[in-house]
Amino acid sequence: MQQIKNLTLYHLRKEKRQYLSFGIILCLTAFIINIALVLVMQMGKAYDDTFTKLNTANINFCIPQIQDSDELKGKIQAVKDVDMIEIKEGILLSATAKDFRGTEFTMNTIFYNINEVSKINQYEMIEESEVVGENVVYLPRYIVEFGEYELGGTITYQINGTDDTFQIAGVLQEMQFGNYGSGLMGVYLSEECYQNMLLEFEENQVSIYAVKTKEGKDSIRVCREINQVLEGEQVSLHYSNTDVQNKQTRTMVSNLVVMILFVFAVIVLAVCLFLSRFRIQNMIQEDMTNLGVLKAMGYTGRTIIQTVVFPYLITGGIAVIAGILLSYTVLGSLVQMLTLQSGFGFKVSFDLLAGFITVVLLLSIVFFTTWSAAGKIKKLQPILAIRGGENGKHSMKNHFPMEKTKGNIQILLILKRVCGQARQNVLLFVVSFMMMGLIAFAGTLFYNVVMKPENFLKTLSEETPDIMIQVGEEEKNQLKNTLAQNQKVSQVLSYGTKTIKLDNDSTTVFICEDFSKVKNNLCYEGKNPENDKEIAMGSAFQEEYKLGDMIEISSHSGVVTYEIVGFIQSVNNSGNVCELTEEGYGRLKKDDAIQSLYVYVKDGVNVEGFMEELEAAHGRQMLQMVNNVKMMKTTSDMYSGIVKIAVTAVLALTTLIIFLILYVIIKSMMVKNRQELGIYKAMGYSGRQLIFQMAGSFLPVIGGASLMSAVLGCIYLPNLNNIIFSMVGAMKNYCEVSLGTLILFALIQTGISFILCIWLALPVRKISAYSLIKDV
Amino acid sequence: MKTKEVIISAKDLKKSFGTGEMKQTIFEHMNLEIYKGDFTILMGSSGAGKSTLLYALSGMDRPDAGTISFCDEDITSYKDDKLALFRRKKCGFVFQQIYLLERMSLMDNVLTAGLLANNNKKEVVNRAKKLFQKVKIPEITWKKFSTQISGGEAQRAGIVRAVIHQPEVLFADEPTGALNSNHSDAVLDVFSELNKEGQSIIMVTHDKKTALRANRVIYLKDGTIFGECDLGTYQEKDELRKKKLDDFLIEMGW
Repeated sequence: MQQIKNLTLYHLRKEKRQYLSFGIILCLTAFIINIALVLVMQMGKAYDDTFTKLNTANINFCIPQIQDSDELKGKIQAVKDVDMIEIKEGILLSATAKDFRGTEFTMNTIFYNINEVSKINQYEMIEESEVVGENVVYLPRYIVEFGEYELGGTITYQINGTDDTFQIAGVLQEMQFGNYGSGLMGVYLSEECYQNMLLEFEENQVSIYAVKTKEGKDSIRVCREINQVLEGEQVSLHYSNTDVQNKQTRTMVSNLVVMILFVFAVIVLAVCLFLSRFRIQNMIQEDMTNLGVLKAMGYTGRTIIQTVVFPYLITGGIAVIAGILLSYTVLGSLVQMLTLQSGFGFKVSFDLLAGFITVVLLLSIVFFTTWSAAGKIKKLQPILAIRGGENGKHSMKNHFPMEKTKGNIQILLILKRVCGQARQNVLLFVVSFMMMGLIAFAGTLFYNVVMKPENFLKTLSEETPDIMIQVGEEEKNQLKNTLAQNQKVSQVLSYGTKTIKLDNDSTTVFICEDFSKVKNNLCYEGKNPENDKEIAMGSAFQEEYKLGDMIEISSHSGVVTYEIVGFIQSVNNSGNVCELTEEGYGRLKKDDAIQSLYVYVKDGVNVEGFMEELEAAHGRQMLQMVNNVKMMKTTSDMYSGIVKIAVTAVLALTTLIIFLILYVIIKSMMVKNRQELGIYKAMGYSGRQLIFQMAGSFLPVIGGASLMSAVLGCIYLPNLNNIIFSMVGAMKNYCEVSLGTLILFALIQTGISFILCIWLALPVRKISAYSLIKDV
Repeated sequence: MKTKEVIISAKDLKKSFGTGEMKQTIFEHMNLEIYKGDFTILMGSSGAGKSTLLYALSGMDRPDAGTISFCDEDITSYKDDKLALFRRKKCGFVFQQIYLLERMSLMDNVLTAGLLANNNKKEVVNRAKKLFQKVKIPEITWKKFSTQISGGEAQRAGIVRAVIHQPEVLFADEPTGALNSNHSDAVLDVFSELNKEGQSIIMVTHDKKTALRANRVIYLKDGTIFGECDLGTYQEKDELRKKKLDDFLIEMGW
């Protein structure tokens, strides 16, 4: 044991820098994996715990209060697997929050009475302030934190063109309507304030049904059955959601972040293992004579292998634990950012299981890789090792024989070197290839999220006009024609969203006069509807239907049949959407025309200034006007803020890892070639010549691998992006993968490697030929 | 009597290795002159500083102090690149471990040195071929690698590589140290022949038989030149020279 200890320490001391680099890479890998594991293990559980603690309903739906009755309640209660029902009253309004993160933000909002006590869908008051005055509101944390409001401060809502300011008296957490993605925001008013609002908007009073299903029952199926009952009773359904859909939308961004981290960690780990294998094989070659002496002295192959593997395990163990501990320094902030999007908060605690999995996973991989790499030692014959190993192992082909090959001696020597180091070339190729893959992955995400966020936003959002105008049915056509003739307008579309019942489920329908003119084509398969007989379905329906199928949609006027011509995506609604042309929707609901216009301004037009002009000229014709550019920015921040940070961190870590890996490889190659360099120096080759010879010999392999990876990345990265985004419901993504940019990355990687080679080889200039030859 | 031309002149040389308590001075205040056309042997006990002196004189290593004039030029003041240029033009090296470049054929080993000093490939290749023939390496072996030939052949190829560019001085560090007697003689014959043609040679050796090939033997002890012996021109089976060398070495405490 003592001998193993001594030899292990000898290895550690001898190559401390190499172990340090290996340790740093492993530390980073553990750091990333642990973050991802903790998020996977704790976020879902915290979500479920909060869901249970607040006794959140499995199904929530909202109907006009006027249509509610005890009889209806009884029928809902009678639906199979419905366990418990609670009805709460509220006022459903489209409300625009002013100064929401510096802009305006329109949300469908249910205003509750804070004094109405409920058993289901409870809330948790996180912070409260002293109540001053009558207009008092208690906001969900999503609005306060993401909208950048302050407790005790005020929030102004514009409802039906009138501004109303409320004092923010509390911040609460609830799990039914807690974020933008859930499609409805629950806001609580003081008793007095609620009653005042009710007087003003009595026709908007709704009954919110909170339904608890029996343990383990499928809430989506129960929701459909409830919708059937509502349809049978001819009750209008304003809104419905299930716990499954809600969880999906609320944890979407965290899932995206976890996916990115996992993909990154897997690549880094693969590179790290390849590296340790290479290091050990190199070490065996460099230390061949010493290994032979040890064997001659009576050390068994197994003992020697242990002394080779232990330093990696020791370094790996320390690095992995450091990585795990380090991950907790950022997890808190990361969770806080995820809270912004998910609308529910939780505190990260030390996760023993995540840590255990990280340690066991990484160390066992390190162990098996290093042990198998060191296995060669077992078969080594002592005398052969003492003589420096198997002679004649080098390639016996004399590449580019100088006598016959034309060209400069320096170039010839570089070419000879390239051809003569096959094993190193393989490693360098694989590592450069994978590193470039990593850069391409991180760089592409960085480009699409940070530098060109509209791509990311388009992937996750719906139609993106510059201005959205709500207008009365009578004024719509006149205003549309006037706007279309305006010099600053590029086009005006009649576009809007309604809710219909599809497969007994409440489904959002996007209605447009002409889908060929939209800016953000949501269709990822087939085409958009072009006439009144066609429909495009959301991704949620793709399992049930295929292109060409006919679908029957019932309305008050009867059953209408459409042909499915395409599939569209909508992350916010978990794909539970469809598309109809204006005429198509007219077949379904004749008297319910859309009352909104989407205005697209020409390039360079100031949207805000233009809106002021419109307000002055057509204010009377319009019910509401929303600056969608600002709104998009807010929505984009909602999704991209945390992804931006994750992607930026991934890119920064990639750069660091590349430096470390190249350092390890090049350094060990330099050490290995030390004697050869000495011989060259003795012949009269200058330090500069040798440095360029070394660096030049790495260039073709690194450059070739990087370029090949860039080209393959351009082909396969869209698929990887598709997989990542499809996991959060975005079946079609707008992420651009530019071959030019990837080739630029490849050239940068090659350039950095070349500079690094030169930097690492610089000492060759100062070391005398004698030292290079002798100090091997 | 004709005065010999000094090709290397070392003055007040000092060289040490290590730092602090581990510092070991190899030689100090070393003064020495090497003459053109001489076959000079450096002998001495282990650790006397023979190899260190050889590498300092050849510009393979730098002395800590003192000056070395090579053809009247102070090479100790040379920067790294100039020193490399100096070695390229003026020096040739033969090592005990041979140090042929393993990934190259014998011919390419030689051309790697030759083409560095002379761009005329045809001229260099022709000279390489002549030298190979001279050291009795058959053409079939020129394309072989160092791992495929005997030690003696490899060392003779090493000599060809060392003299391909016609250096002023050929430096050899125990070139027969790792060879058996037969191979040793063949290698020494090459050195003798080269010297006969006017090649200046400085060689480190432990071997008396090797030393007999030289016309001048310098004995180092404890970092200083302890003694020197002029053996005159080498001739085979010259008992008088042999006795002279024996007496000298006995006097030196060999």
